[in-house]
Amino acid sequence: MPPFPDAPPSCDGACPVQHAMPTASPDFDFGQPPFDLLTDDQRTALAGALDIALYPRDAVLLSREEPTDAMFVVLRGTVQERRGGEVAAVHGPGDRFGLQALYGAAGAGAGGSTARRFVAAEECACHLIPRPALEALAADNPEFGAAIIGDFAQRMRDLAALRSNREMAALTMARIRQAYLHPPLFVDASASLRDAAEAMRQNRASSVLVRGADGAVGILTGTDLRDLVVLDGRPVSEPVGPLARYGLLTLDRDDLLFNALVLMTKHAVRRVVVTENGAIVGLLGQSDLLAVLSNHSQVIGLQVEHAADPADLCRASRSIVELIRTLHATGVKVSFIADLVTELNRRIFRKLFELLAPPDLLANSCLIVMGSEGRGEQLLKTDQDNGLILRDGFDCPYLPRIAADFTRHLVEFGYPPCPGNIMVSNPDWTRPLAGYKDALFNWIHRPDEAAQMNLAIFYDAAPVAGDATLLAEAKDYLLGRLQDNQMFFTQFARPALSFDTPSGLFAALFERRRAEAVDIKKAGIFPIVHGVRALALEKHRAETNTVERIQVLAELGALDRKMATDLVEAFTILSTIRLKARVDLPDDGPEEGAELAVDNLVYPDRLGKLDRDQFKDCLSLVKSFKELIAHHFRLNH
Amino acid sequence: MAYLLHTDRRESVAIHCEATSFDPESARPLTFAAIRIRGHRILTGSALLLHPGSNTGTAEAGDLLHAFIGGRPLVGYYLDFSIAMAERLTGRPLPEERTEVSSLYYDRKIRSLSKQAVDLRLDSLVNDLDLPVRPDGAFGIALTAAMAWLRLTQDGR
Repeated sequence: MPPFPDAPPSCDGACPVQHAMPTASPDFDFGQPPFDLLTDDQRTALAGALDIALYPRDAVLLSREEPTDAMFVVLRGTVQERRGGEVAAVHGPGDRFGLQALYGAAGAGAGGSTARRFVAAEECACHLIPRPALEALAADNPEFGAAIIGDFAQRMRDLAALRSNREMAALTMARIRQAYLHPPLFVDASASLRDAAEAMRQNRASSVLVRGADGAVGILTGTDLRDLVVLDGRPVSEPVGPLARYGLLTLDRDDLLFNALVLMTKHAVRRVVVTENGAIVGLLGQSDLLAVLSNHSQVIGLQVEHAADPADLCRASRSIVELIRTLHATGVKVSFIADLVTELNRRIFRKLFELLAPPDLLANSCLIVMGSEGRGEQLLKTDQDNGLILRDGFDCPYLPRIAADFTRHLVEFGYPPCPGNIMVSNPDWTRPLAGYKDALFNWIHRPDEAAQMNLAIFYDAAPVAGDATLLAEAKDYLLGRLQDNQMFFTQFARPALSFDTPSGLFAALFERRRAEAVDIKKAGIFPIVHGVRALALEKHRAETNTVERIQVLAELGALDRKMATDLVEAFTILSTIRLKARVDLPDDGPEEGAELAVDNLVYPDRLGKLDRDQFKDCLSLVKSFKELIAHHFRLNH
Repeated sequence: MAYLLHTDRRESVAIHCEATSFDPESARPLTFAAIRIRGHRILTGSALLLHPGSNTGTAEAGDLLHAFIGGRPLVGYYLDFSIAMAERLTGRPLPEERTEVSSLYYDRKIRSLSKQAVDLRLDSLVNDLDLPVRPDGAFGIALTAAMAWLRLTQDGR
């Protein structure tokens, strides 16, 4: 035990009596708004209620797993707010955070935007204002309360804005590292203009970097060359050294792409030099920057096109899950994700079929996808719904084996088999065109539950590989067989009402029951999809996508414009919530090959306030749409 | 409040006693300050500050302090003196698990400075560890001890 050179100060009986209310020594900064609104008494009360926390570097101050009971105010150091691995904001001394976790969604878990974590960027000290103290002050001092809540509301608005703007969001989160960099092309200062032009041509580059004598690096672009030689008439033998522009715009490889865009815009240039540990590693062009968003999907697309066997395809297919996660995490809109995933899934199906089927089968058949895949509303890998239409009179002896292989490979890729067995491997769904026509005839004229379902999903079918005219002919037959028979459409539309949609008049009840899960597919998505499908079928439309159907129905006057707009929006929001409920669940990235199963249960109490309100609005719209459908098809008679 | 949250996480208590002299046998305690530490968080908002015989009766103060500590490990600067005073007040022995922060600090400094004498004065310790605190009064010193303990135990240097 070391000695104690500094004994506590001893007093001799006349010591001043300490305050009963201890005041936290590191003085809280009351000059900072909104705390400057507090009266002296309120300041004393707050000072007495404060806790203090000290964090070492990299400590997690707040995450969604750990609900908080206090608002944080940074006293020293900096705290990073991270969303899905990226730094979304930095909080320094005087900044406050944690209110959203205190009152909002993030603390409640799955519903929040993406996983938010607050991490100490260095040694930090924070004041913590416990919730009861904060609420007491807000009640005592309404102005202060409004400022605190207003702050919160503003953040929620920011969050909503962030989500609504997919390009911005994707760019704000992405790093330069994710973009393609042109390798740096150097020439010496003594090289002539002609040498520089020659180097650009040989390397297909649009600029060269000039290594000056004093170690400085400059740039000379194709535009510069044009201006110098063609416009200014300089001889091509002149050395580039004095003509290059020095003072390069550089960014580190780990900088945000967004910064690169800002820099380019500010200086009206189309490229920036990228460094890593101070050394130049390449050039980032404006077009490469903008390509980053789709880059990821292009890579998968290439993997699919170049696949030599099903194993290659399997790898490409697995990376789709990661793509969905990335896109969703960076705030990309769900309709965009659906388009992309649909396209990639179809390419995979096509490629697999092409790998397995001999050329004569390819030429004489049409591979179709049905249901949500046919409508192009696939967000995750859902059940297979596929079939094969053969040209009448064509016979392929290996067909059963090829069909079985096709289905088996897709299962390996992570597309679960269809519980209704609507798959190529089922002979009912691999038959000649005439066979499909017979089936359609029966579905229309002898409707029962199974026939209704088959008809509905076949109406959504889209061609994927082979001869698309076979499907077109089958669909023509379907539309041609439809009579303007009220009974048929009444039957066809009825399932749109088969599930209850909680909302509207039951809002109060809904509030109370909000801990209960709502099946978002039955309550929201299916009624829209099927109601719209019935209306489109009635109008003999060939579109398969729900949003496209709604739009064309609005043009035809079959749907009121306002209703059409609201339906599209509700459909998008519900699909987003459905995707989010699934994607947000696991916190860490998926292990290799991990799958995102589709779960249709949504827990309103786990949604953020923003999502919850939207969810309720959507459900009440679905309710009125169902009334419209019931009225239109006379389902209540 | 504390009974619900983080019952699994171990808490400690930083204490300090100011007294009329420095001799535990004869000194009369003026102020006891005790602050709980939970994780990275120092619960200054619910700290205990006692002036035995002034704002509380001596026996009552002893019970309050004993209940507040509740078997938690103790942390302090010049902890032996504070504990001697506290045990005299409560009339009961305090938990055996104790950490003297000047000792922790000494251990760290002796590793890096080797030959030089280690300055163990509280002011120097606050400056050296860059703690956001003024070590004034029983409360200030207890808080300083809590902060120093956190800094010295949390970063494994």
